[in-house]
Amino acid sequence: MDFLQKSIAAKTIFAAFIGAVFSTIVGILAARFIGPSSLFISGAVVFAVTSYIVYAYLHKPLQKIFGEIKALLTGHPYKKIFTNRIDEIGILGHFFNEVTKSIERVSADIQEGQRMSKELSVGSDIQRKILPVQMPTIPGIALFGNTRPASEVGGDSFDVFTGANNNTYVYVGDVTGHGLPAGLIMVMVNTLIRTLSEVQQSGYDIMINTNRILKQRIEQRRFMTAILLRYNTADKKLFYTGCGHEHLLIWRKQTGVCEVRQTGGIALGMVPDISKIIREEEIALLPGDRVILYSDGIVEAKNMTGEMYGVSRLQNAVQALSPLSAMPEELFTNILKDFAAFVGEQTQADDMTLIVVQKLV
Amino acid sequence: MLSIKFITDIRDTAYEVVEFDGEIDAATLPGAYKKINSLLESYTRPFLVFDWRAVRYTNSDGVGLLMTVYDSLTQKGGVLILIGLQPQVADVCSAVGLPTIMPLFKTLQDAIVFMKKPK
Repeated sequence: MDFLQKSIAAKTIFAAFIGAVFSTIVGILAARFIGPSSLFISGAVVFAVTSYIVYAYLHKPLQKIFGEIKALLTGHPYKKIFTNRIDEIGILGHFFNEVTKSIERVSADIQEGQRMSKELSVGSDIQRKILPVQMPTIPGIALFGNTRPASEVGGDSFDVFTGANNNTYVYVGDVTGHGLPAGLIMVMVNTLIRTLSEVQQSGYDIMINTNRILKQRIEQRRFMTAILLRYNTADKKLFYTGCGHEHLLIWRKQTGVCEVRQTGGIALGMVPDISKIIREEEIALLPGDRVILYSDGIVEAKNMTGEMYGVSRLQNAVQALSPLSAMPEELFTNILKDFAAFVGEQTQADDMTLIVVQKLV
Repeated sequence: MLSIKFITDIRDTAYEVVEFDGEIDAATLPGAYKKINSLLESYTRPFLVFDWRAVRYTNSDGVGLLMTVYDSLTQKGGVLILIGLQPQVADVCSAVGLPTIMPLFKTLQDAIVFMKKPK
């Protein structure tokens, strides 16, 4: 009897057989007890019973299913179909339930994606507002720079601001990873450095305290490389404090040579106390000399053949393009053109930051 | 791909060696953390040696793993030692300042000499 459960066709044939037997019995009994005219009555009875069976087993369930399908297609509320049937109508009911389940899952994913995208957009806005909109005018130096995150929220940051005691600071930082967690750390460090610059006298003091506070608040596996330049507008001297960041590039106008200098130190957030590991050092510069800061997103970018841009290539670009670039902004643009020609159409894998600082007097 | 093997020298209870083979990056990191964390939970020896002679590539993710282990060991008074860094890996570690806080050696023998030194 299993085949009867699974097939409407089988059910229909079976029902027709039962109907034929039933109508024969009713006809014989009616003819015997009522008379020949009872054939009409028995026919009517058989027709009524058959019609009811067709309505109850076929029409009503199909009507229910198609009603829910119509509701789904026209954007109206629909209901799950409850059925124990395993024939064609049962399959249709189960199929409807599975389709609506999948649609609901995809819809939830889309809504979640939209929500996250909105949050990332807010995060990206906050981050963008922290970054300098345009380069400030600082007596004695000219500078230009920018950062481009790899995703909506990046881990790279740079800033230019004035602190206490005639000090102007330029810093570039790079948090491990990118995305929202890295962006939050970037915002934290930016705020710390800016705040501490108003009370501390040197890049060394700022970074030690930034590190001490940051270490208490971030996961063990996260850290931030950074380099902080301090230019004192009174004595016109430039200093740097390295915290595990990329090498500095220094272009000397007189010789035309671009030197590479290790920044040293240790990244912020690795250990609680970096007072014995970092130091602030002077960069002796003459007017026209330039200092180039960047993040690893530039030197580690690869082209189609998998070759990295690299520090050497950047150094050569600075050396070749500096004499052709009157001001930092021009050098910035020319370096990026060289970079873009190298990487081609490759997707940006990491945040990128580049800053050019030039001593004027 | 990354494989991790734990090697215990039964003659010396001062250290255990963890051998890495492959690349340490975002893709292989979750598996690495799982294995290392299970070791660290009950680790009580004074030194832990990470043998990175067969680590072909790493980035800040690998450094993050080292810092997690470093923090965990330091809290228990232990020392993390790295041996056999390949040039690219050495550059990454050196750039962020790892040599200033973590002993690095070329070979296990050099590391053993360091471990045996009276403190």
